[in-house]
Amino acid sequence: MKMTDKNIAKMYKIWFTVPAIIILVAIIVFAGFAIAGKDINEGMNIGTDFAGGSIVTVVLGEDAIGSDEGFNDQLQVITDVLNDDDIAAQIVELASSEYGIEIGAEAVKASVSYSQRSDSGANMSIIVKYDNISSTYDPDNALTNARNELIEAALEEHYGVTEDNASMVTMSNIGATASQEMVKSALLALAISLVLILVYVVIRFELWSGIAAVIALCHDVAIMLAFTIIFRIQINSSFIAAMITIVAYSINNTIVIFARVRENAKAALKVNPNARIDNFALCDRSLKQTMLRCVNTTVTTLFAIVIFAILGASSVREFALPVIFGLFAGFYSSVFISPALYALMKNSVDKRKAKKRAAGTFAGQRSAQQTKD
Amino acid sequence: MINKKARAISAVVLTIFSIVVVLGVVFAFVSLDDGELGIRNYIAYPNVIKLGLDLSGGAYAEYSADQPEEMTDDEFNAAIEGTRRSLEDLLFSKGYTEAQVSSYGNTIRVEVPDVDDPERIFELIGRPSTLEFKEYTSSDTVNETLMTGDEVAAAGVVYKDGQYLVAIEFTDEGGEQFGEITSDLVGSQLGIYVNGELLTQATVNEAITGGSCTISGNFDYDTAYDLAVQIQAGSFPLDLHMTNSNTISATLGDSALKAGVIAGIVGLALIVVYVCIFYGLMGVAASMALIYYSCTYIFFLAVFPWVQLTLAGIAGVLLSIGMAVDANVIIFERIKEEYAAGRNMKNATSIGFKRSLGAIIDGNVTTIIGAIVLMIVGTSTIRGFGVTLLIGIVLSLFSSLVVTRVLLKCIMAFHDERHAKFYMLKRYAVAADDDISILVEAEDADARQKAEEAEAVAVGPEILPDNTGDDFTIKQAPKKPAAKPVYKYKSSRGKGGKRR
Repeated sequence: MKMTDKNIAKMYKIWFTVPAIIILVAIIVFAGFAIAGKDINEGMNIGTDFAGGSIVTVVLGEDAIGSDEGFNDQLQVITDVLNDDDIAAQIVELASSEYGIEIGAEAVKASVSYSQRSDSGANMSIIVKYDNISSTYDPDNALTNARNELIEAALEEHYGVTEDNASMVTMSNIGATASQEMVKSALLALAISLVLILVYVVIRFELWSGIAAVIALCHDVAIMLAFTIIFRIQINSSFIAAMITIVAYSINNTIVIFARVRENAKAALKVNPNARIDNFALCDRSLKQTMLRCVNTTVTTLFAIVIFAILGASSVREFALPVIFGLFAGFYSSVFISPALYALMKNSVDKRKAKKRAAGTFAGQRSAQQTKD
Repeated sequence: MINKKARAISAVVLTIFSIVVVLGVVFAFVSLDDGELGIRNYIAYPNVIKLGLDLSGGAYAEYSADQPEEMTDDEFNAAIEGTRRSLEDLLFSKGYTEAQVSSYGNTIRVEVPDVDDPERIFELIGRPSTLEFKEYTSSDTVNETLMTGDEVAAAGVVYKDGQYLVAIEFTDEGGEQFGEITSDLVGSQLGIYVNGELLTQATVNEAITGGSCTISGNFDYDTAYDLAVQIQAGSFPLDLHMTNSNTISATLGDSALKAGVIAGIVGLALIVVYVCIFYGLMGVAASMALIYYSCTYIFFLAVFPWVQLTLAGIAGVLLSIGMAVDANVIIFERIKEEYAAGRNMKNATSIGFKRSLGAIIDGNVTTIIGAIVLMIVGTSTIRGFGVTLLIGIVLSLFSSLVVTRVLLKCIMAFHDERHAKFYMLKRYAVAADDDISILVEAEDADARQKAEEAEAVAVGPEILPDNTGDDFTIKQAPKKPAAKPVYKYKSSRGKGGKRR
């Protein structure tokens, strides 16, 4: 255990570099996709929750059953149509001839954001939600509507929809269910909580702990976002909820460490009120005293969420993954970032105070007072 | 050492607690049909938890609105957005926190989870209709419209003097307008028209200027409720026509819920094993408290109206269960340290609880702040999530600070110092709380001198590991584990001081 001999808090350069690299990679990935897609929104995988999209509903009739049974087969049929090269080519052609817009075939193809089924057998209906063509190319949805008509026609042909059989294909546009408003209110809630947490921590601890704790929380959010960008995980309302969950739980770890810092500092100053505190040593010690508990808590929460991700279907995994990233980010920031930040800030403040004190006359009396806070 | 009376009480407490927890677990899984055990149709309480759209599906209805000629496009869009928002608020107030209302062009789509019949949506939000206030003279004359439902902020049912009334609250503007109308109409009758038809009429006794009014009639609760819903529905800024409605199936369905339940149970089991290995009998107390916590948490989720569990909600519950043991881990680590530093088992326990309280309260208060902000500021989904989070934290605080403590005390009543190993308590060298050699950088020789003097004063031989926990105890870590640390600390103090 070499780690125990080293001053963890003092190795802050390493600790600060790792998240910086992750965020840098995320920015590069974001820029890469944004440039390739010629659209800033392409940088992230934004779900139909936010972006809106189209819904196609296919109701199978007696005739459709038999050829390809089962939900997955039917879904495959629909997905194939959504990604059909011919349809994409026609839309690209239409875009340049009618609207004078140059657009790539990939940007026209619909990516499925979710699918659902109800009933089974001949009554089965399959609902597929998928993206609209980006509004950068298609401000009034003319291209999307044209594409949807082609998709509808292709599906109707496949399922042999006529007046007298029960098969049915319906197509509709949907707005963003998780509106801009939801994101706004979530971000507002996050900002207000951060400010209130800052106020509380400053009251119960001190200014520098508060700032360090809030920076750590911002780090958690940034890292979660970075990972979702890097792994192209869909950003939807569940992700927003996951982000808020992590912030709510991550603050706990940070506070436990700062409580120990507070206690250790108080204990040392009780013994020797005239001394100055080596903040790195203080943080390092507090960290090591609480490390086991931080690991334990993170591990116990990971247990449950990892099992959830393993057992759940792909959509569950897509949601659980950011939570798992967030748990790691929360642990990382609580243990490696906030104490080091605190020590850095506190040390520079102490140094400035010491300078002032050297200039002042009543050195002894004032130092006793200042080191107390 | 072992008090017989305390033992008896402890045995009773532990037995009762175990029975309660076992019943809690049993009733979480067992449902009873009518007549079994003489109970009327009991459904296992976790099954009562309302589920969000993604887990249970629901029903949707689509409405389209015509753009009135006098409205510009911008005004129309604003009106659509306003309607969308009032629908959302209406559904939230009825406990459907996960209902989704989206708008697209002139279409508004309402998706309500946990409802299998689209008709239920109309019961919830009413069939949107126009609301008008007119003077009522006779059943065949229709007078000019004095006021429309646009100015109604909310409508609800109140119970007063033995009868149900429909209360209407106006917007500020509406309140003024209504005041003017009613002052003109004192003595005559005011009619309320829905979709152009007379719904009810009432005699105006005096000008109503308070911004709200009540309508009395021979209502029972249901008719009053229906009227309130209709009035509220008529208060949307636009006329809505229903174009389409149907059921929607769950996007995730049973598999996600099952995965959540299994993950919860396996996670819980692993945590139980984990704390029992690390903390012995203390872990047993924590495990019992944790199972109690899980049952009560799920119970509260089932009975609270604003909870609609979604995928995110399940993850939140799983994290809560993982975190619930957190406070206990903090406390037990502290007890271990205090015991290692030389305290006896009972003192170490009570001081452990006391000294970890600050950190636990601070950590949880920050989370509570977050949860409350979500409840106040957030929109539908986020608000529901805040409620779930808040219930979880408050219960976990109670479970880890009160329940675990009582249980631990009861278990400890059967043991004395000789049994410390069952609690995974060991004597070992701990870094003393005041290891100033690490913490303090003496600024100069003077300060160091003072420091040593201060230390010498503070560490007088009369200060022994205290039994009250109120005093600060001075210890210095010896380099090697000591058999009798209490005395070793004392004797090694001089050396420790010089180590600097």
